[in-house]
Amino acid sequence: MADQQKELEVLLASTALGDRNAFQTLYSNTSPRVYAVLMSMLSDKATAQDVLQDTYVKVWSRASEYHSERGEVLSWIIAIARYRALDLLRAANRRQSFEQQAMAPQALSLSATNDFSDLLQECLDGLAQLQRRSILAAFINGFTHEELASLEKTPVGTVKSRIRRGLARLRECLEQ
Amino acid sequence: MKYDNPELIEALASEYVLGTMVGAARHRFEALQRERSDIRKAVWRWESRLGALCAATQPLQPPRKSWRAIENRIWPQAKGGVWHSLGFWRTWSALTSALALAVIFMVAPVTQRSGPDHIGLIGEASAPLWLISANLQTGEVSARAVNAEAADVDKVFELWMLPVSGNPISMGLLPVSGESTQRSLPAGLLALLKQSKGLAVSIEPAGGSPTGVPTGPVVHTTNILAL
Repeated sequence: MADQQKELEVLLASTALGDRNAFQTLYSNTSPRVYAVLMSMLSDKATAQDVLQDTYVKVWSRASEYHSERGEVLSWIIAIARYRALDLLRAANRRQSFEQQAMAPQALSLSATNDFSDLLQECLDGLAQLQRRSILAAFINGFTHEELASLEKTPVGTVKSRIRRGLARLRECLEQ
Repeated sequence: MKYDNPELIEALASEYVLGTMVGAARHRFEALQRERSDIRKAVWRWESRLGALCAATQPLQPPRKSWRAIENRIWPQAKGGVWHSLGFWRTWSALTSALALAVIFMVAPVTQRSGPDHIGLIGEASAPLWLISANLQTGEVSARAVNAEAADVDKVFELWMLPVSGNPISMGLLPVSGESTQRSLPAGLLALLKQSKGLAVSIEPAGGSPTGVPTGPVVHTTNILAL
């Protein structure tokens, strides 16, 4: 993981200096992760590909703004992509077709297969099942509190406090 | 709300990054990030923590055309056709507002197969800064800098669609110094554009708005006209 981060940092630094080959390699190494998240959130290939483009155009133009305080390079790129996707979801009120979305049951059982680091897996395992499921569904699918409450047939207030407590617990565990 | 409690800042930052903070609260928190480095850093920490959750999805290879599209947006290549001919643009630049409509009707027959069917002129009609042309059937949108020069150092011009309701939606950065950009809008955005109230241009930091909504002054607005 550390080697991969180091390699991505070098590629990003070269990208900031205008190295197109480094940028293309950075894209090749990170875009499958970014695209997977965008597809999970947007459920539409054309929109996900459009946001993927927006994301990497920003990565190219803002590569020099990255520094180690921003965390891992991949997380930085994922954040750019997710904020753009969230804007689109909220603006277009995507959930108009929410009720009939077949993806919903899948969304709530995402943690079945994953490639988490040992520490993250341990910390996620330390959460209550519903906390883990809600946090993952909000992150991976971009669900709002209201949408999660509707899916889980639970009051919105319950979902809010569950997520807030889960995130606080996740932070405590990851910082130990 | 007082933002001097570190635990509260952590909690808000976590909800912001997760995406469950929405609407006005989200906008307020974005404004706070611009003012407060401690809040920015809390957001960065959560981006790092939660970013690792992307491993919950199986990597998915994007199609090859995505990379080509990114290349075309960053390094636009000259293409043929009336919209890229030097003569056309010389003619356009020389025209005054009185002739603008005539030009539109002259161009329309030439491009009727796949060319633009809507147009937005940004700036004075007698000295337009940008020409935005769109085909609302195919979703192809191009922006051409006619007289626009670069904004201040480290500043860019960003184009926004003004939907009937909700926040402006970015349509990307505008080119300057005679350059042009092209993009293909996805169906969702295209539907919003068809009903939009118009376009706006704001001045943003290099790379575009860091928040997804205009953060700098809105310097131009215009309508989208059917050809």
